[in-house]
Amino acid sequence: MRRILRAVPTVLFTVCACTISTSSFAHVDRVSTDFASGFLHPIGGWDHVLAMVAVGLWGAFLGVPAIWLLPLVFPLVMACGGALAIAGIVVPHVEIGIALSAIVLGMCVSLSLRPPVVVASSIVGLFALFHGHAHGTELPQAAQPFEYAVGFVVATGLLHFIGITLGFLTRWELGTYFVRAGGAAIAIAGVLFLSAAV
Amino acid sequence: MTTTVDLLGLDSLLIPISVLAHALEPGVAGGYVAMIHSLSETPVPLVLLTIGLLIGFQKTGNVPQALLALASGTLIGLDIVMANGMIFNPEPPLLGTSLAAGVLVGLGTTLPRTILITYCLIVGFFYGAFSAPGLISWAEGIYYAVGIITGLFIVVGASVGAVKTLKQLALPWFSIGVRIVGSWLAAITALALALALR
Repeated sequence: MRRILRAVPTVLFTVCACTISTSSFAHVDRVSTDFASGFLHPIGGWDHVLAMVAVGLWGAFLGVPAIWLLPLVFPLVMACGGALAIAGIVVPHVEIGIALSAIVLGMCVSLSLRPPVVVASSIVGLFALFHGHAHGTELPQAAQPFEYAVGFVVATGLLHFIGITLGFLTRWELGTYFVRAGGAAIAIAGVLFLSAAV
Repeated sequence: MTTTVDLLGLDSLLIPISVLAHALEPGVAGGYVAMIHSLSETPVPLVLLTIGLLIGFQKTGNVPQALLALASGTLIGLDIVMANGMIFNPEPPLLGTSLAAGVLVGLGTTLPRTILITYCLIVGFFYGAFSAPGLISWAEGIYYAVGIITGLFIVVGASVGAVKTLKQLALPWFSIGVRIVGSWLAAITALALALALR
């Protein structure tokens, strides 16, 4: 009981951090200016937030080495997606890919799927490409693109960390149900994003 | 051939850059400006931080040789550009080598001494070429060169020291944390490289 109570402040903080998103989609035409804009881009849309948190949740759920490997793979492949966007290479159906990432990753958490680490990394890497391309599309328009890139990479990493922190609730049986319910909620939200994107 | 060169972004390497890459202040002021360059001019702090993490991750016995190789390569790069002017664009290869460093940090790779020293020589060369003030004599640019080397050791030395110190504390999350930071730096560097090749 004491251990659960000790975890409450951490959980409350992470829940509050997750609720600061203001709109469903972050990919609207707007002027991106600096680090703050880049930082706010992933957390300004629920589609990004939920997918990033789901990566951390799933990693925590899978345990070592996935708990650090997935948050390591995601930014790297995301940067590749961003580089493709900067180079002007079009990745089709980016919004659909992002919506699917929330669905698939949410279901993986909800159904307690434990594939081999290589498979999990591949799934995460595939979706990271779409997220990176979405961020990278707005990057060249930024007044300070380098600072913008730093901002969204850092924000993405912190969202993973939030997911990992929430994922530690799986140490307790009740926490496991909470995490799996969270995964289901993410998957349902992903279906809503997909219906809007199609 | 031209199309291939364009597609690979290699034309950005072939275009001669203007002779004076960095404005040169006279005397000690020039040295101070050069030192600040290492701490502020995009993407130099990112590159040096990544290299510092990589060197810090290596065996302690190889660190002095790696730092010496880095400084030597920097002096060689400075010398060549100061003697010949900016005959190529050093930013893309500098970012490319930094990207490799970030990936190696993310993978937690320990390099053999010979490879580490060779790598540091190459990175140092591109860093020196990138930082050089252009076509001037050593008599005019000595303070600037001293400033560049000083700035190099400030950032790289601090990174190496931080890694070694944290490693000594034997914190359970240390290795994973540094590897995740390495992946973040690699992701940012990849985007910076895409912007440089655009």
